[in-house]
Amino acid sequence: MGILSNNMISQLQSALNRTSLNQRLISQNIANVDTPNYKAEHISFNDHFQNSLKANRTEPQHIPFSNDNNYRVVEDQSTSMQNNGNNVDIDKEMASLAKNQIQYQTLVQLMNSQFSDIKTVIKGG
Amino acid sequence: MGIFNGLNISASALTAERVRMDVISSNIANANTTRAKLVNGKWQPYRRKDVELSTINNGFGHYLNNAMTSQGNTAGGVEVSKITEDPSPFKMVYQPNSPDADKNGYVKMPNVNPTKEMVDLISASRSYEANVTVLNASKGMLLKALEIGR
Repeated sequence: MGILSNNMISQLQSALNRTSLNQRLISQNIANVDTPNYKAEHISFNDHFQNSLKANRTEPQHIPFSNDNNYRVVEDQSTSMQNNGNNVDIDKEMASLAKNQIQYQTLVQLMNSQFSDIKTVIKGG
Repeated sequence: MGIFNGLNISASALTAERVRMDVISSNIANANTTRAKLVNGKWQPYRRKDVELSTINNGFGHYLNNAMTSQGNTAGGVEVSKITEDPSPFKMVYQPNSPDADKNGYVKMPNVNPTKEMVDLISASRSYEANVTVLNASKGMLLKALEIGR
């Protein structure tokens, strides 16, 4: 394992990607809070489903397929919050907005501490 | 999928909510307008206007994006697709000395209900505030991302 191809950093990277996708979904849900027949979208973690779709790589150095993420976007079709068929729950969305923001900042801080660790090693303390 | 997609989604919602507020302003301002449109030489009162909101998810780019990424349809925002006129009947008010009165002394008044307009106004204003909050949150995240590795 190289010093920069650290497992922690790549994991943090995919977590940051997921958080920014979540941010986009929340933006979209709140933007469409008054749109008739709009259904809220959320990230769903569905490892089994994704694993069954995953292409089998015969050689580990092959480029992975883009579907190799273990999450996907789903629409919640089951409920209706308003008479116009819209099911955006504004309170829930605002709460997950705050949560998502804190999560993102935490991940960035962790990433920074990883980098500063590496810097310490390079400089020799 | 650009970096500023989240900001663009919130910006489209701010635009849409502002249009909605403009339409409500127009409805309240014209609540007593008896001469809005000339039809066959006779004045018709103002008709209440209503906005139609819809999700932006059309166009080739959207479908291409969906097919190429596994992240699903996150391209949309919201837009005002149409401004419609409310077809409900006008209010008839007895005002025999008005220049617009018919032969029985009744004047056709606009079909604007001030209570409904005020409720819609509050709703639009709250939605606008919610979208401003999201915009600020997205901006905060983008700025935080600049700090990675600093």
